[in-house]
Formats: sequence, C-alpha cells, structure tokens
Amino acid sequence: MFILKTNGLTKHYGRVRALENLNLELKKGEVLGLLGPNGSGKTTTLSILLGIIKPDLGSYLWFEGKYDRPLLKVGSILETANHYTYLSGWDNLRIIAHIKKVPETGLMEIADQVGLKGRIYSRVSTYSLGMRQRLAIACSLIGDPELLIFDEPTNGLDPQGIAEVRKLINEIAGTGKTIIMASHILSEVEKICSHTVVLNNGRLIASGPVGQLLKQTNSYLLAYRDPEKLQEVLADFDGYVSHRFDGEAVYTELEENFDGSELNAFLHSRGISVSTIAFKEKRLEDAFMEMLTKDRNSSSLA
Amino acid sequence: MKHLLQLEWMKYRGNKTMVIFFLSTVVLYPAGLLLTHLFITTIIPEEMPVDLFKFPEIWSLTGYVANWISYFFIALLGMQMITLEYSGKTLRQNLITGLTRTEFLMSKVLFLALTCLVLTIWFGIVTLLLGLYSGSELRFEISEVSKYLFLHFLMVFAYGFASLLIGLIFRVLALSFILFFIYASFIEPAFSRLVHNNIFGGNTYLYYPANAFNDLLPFPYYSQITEMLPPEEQIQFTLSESHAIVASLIYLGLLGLLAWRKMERSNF
Repeated sequence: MFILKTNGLTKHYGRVRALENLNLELKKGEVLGLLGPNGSGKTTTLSILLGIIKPDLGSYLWFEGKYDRPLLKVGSILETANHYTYLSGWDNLRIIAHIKKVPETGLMEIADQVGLKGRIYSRVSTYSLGMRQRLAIACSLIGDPELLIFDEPTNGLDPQGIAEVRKLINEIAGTGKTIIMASHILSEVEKICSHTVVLNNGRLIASGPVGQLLKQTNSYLLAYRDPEKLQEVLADFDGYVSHRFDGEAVYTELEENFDGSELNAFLHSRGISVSTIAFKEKRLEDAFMEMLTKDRNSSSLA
Repeated sequence: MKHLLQLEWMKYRGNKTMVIFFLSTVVLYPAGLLLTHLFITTIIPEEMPVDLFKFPEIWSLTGYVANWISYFFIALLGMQMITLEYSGKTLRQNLITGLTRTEFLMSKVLFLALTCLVLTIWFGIVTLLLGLYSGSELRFEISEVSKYLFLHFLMVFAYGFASLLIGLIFRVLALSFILFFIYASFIEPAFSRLVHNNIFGGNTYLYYPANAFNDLLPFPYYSQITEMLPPEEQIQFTLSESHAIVASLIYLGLLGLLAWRKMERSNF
C-alpha cells in the first residue's frame, strides 16, 4: 500500500523554478528523508502536499484515495511551530483535536510523551522555542496519524532544544510510523531515515534507500602538493565519478568496481605521486555533496 | 456548523484584542445612546421636530448611533478575526491539520454572524430600556421591532463581512483598518459625489457599497430636512430602505464570492 504518490508536481514563482516534475512514492512504514540545500524545493513540496500551496502542474494522491479528508490522517509541522500563543498549550492541543474531530481523552498522554505535562496549562507565549517545537510535535501526534511530516524540525533551536527534539523524533520513528522528514542535518537523516529523496533547484536528483545511496560509489581522500593538477588529471580516470576540493584535500568518488590501488597506479602513470590516499567510509553527507556536485556539473554542461 | 462555531470560540475566548473590541461595542451602545439622550434633552430640546425617544422614533435614533459605533468596532473585530490567523501563521496550521479552506472561511463567517446576532439582541434590549427610561410608553409591535432588528443585523454583518474580506486580502490589522477607513470615509464619498454624480447625475451615486450599508440605518431626520426644502431643491440624501437592503444583499453576495475565490486560490 502506498501512503503518497505524486505525479509531475511542478511549481514556479514567477520565473523562478521551485519544483519541476516531481514524482515520488512513499510506502507504509518508510521513513523518508527529504534532502536538499536551502531553496531546493523541500518546503514547497511539503506545502503542496499539505494543501497550502497550489501546484502549477501535476497531482498527488494520499493513501491510495482511501480517505475523503486525507489530511486528517496526517500529522505535520511545517517550518516553524505555529500556535495561538495567547492560549495555553492545552488549549492549542484541544483546537487541533477539534479540527481532527478526535476526542480529547488522549491529549494529556501526548503532552506527557513530549515532556510538556508540567507546563501544559501555561500560555504558549511563555514557552521556550524548544518547548514550542515539542508542542508542535504533540499537535502532530493527535489522532494517531498514519503519516507524520516534519519540516526542518530542529530549525532555530539551541543545542539543548535540538537534542530534545531529535530524541523525540527518534522515539517516534522507532514505533514504526511512516514519516517524511525534510532536513539539512544529514547525520540526523542518516540515523533516522530508511529512504531519501534528494532535491536540487527544484529537481529530484536522487532517491532510494539510504544504504543504496551510500553504496553507489567508493570515496577516497587524496593529498598532493599541486591540487589543481591532481583535479585535472583525476577526471581522466576511467572509474571517475566526481570530486571536490575543500582547500586542503581532494575527495573523489569512484565507480563501485574501481578501487584505490587502481587509482594510485593511474595517477603514478601520469606523474603524480600522492602523499596520502585513503579510503573514506562514506557518510550520507559525502553522498549528498557528491550528488550536488554531479548535478551542478551536468547542469553547467547542459 | 456547531463544530465550526465551537472551534472559533476556542480560538477567540482568550484573545484580549477580540474581547476588547467586542466589549467596547457592547458598552458603547448604551453609553453612546445615553450621551445622545443627555445631549438632546439638555442642550437642544426645543429645536427637535419630534420626540426622539418615543416609540417608534427611538429605533431610528438608536439605529443611527449603533451605525457609527459598529462602523468602527465591528470592522476591527472582523479584521482581527482573520489577521490574527495570518500573524501567528495559524491559518496554515489549521489547513495542514485538515480544515478545508471553505470550512475555514465558513467558520469566520458563522462566528461573525453569531456575534452580530448577539449585538442585535443587545441593540434591541438597549433601545427598549432607553425608551422606557425616557418615559416613553412601551410599544412593542413585532413587525416594527423585527424590521429594525433585521436592519441592524444586516448593517453590522455587512460592515463585519467587508472587513473580513479586507483582512483576508491585506493580512495585517493596522493596514487593513486604515484602508477600510480611508475607503469608506473619504474615497467612496468623494468619488461617488464628485466624479460619479457629475457624470451620471440622478441618485445612482448612493448605490456604492459603504453608502448602501450605511443607509440601512441612516441619519433619521433627512426626510424631515427634505420636507423643509422647496420642491426645486429637493435632494435624495439616502437610499430608500428597500433599495438599501437589496443593494447590501447584492454586495454581500459579491463579497462572499470574492472572499471564497481569494481563500480557494491563495497560497498560504
């Protein structure tokens, strides 16, 4: 059963492309990480799916069309937490329960789950940012939704707030809920998500299980006295995929069936004796940077 | 319907601005009328052609005072209902939680209508009490009372609904109110009298929206002023009651359509 299917979602703001022909499918139980740099289209995508922005083209379907009012089965936080700050946390929970047409009986349990039970009757205007975000998570949990959507849930929080929210999301993800989480904190996504979708400039540039994205290439760190020359020569290697230079070392991605010894031999044959060549265990961040670099290169070639 | 009204009540009962606007209207109705009573009975008693505080004349007077008060406070209330949802981004939270756009708009309109109904009942009570306080013999004719109550309801609802739409478009309370006030107090009167009237003549300039709403319960003594003028200088100061009602209902329909289209098509 799929929870969400999109078909060619497209959105432009004037002449700016926010989203181009996005096709996605989310299955029950998946924890999908929506990745991309700022302005890549993550929030636009979620805003369209949650009905607050109208797409120019394309369509989407929730829960295979099973429900007339699918958003009542979705709990979501979009960007910042939005509450009636002059009301108490409890009143805000009641309002959400009222919109979702669910009884108020489980609300205190949810407040307890997010660690707000002690302050639930205080006005939201007296809450810290972390508490407001936890209240937003509590709101999203009302009615036992089939899908949770978290858009940059740790944005704007201090380290303690980030830790609190991250712990909470980890716990929720552990319960087997289907989740979409947009974030640019890649370590967070790597730990929590089973699948990822990578957007850049409004286009989908990669998608699939996290493990698969990490395995597509081998990553090596290279050091050489003339990094300019090293970068020029690297591109001639048969198994070359991409590279980036961080000012000190060159990081290169090779196709899965090529390894460091073959690269070293090739560089040697071209008169380059690198001082360091080290296999680098690939993190999602490396894969993400590699995908963005590839996308930028192909865009500039086009 | 009950579900939407309950939702709005949950939102507003703790909002100080809303409570202040509503209570101001409630307090200003009798206060404004008592001041008018004081002014008329102590300062210019012999100049008035009729006893203003007798039934049924008192309805016209209290209606006119209510017109001025509601023009400000119901407008503010209507705008605050919608702009507070923008300023706290709670409109988008309502929508992503599962409220439809139409339901969101309907909840505002229903709550506004309920508020106007409560104010109308209050208007009726205040008028009856003031009439009795002034020594007038109580005359309670259903057709007469219901006519004034209907006119009052339609007037406050029209002011509130127009304000709601302005709030929906401009999204900020102060800006919305300034634009509403400038339009209703300056732009429309100036345009209708100076431009429209010069081009088309007749009394068609009276059919603009703010004037149509205002003429539901207008200054009650225009007819007596007109009677004092010679036939060649006869002027129609206001729309007739039936024309004001029809024009107001048409404008309300148009405003409703505009509000719905704005709500359905906007990105939040």
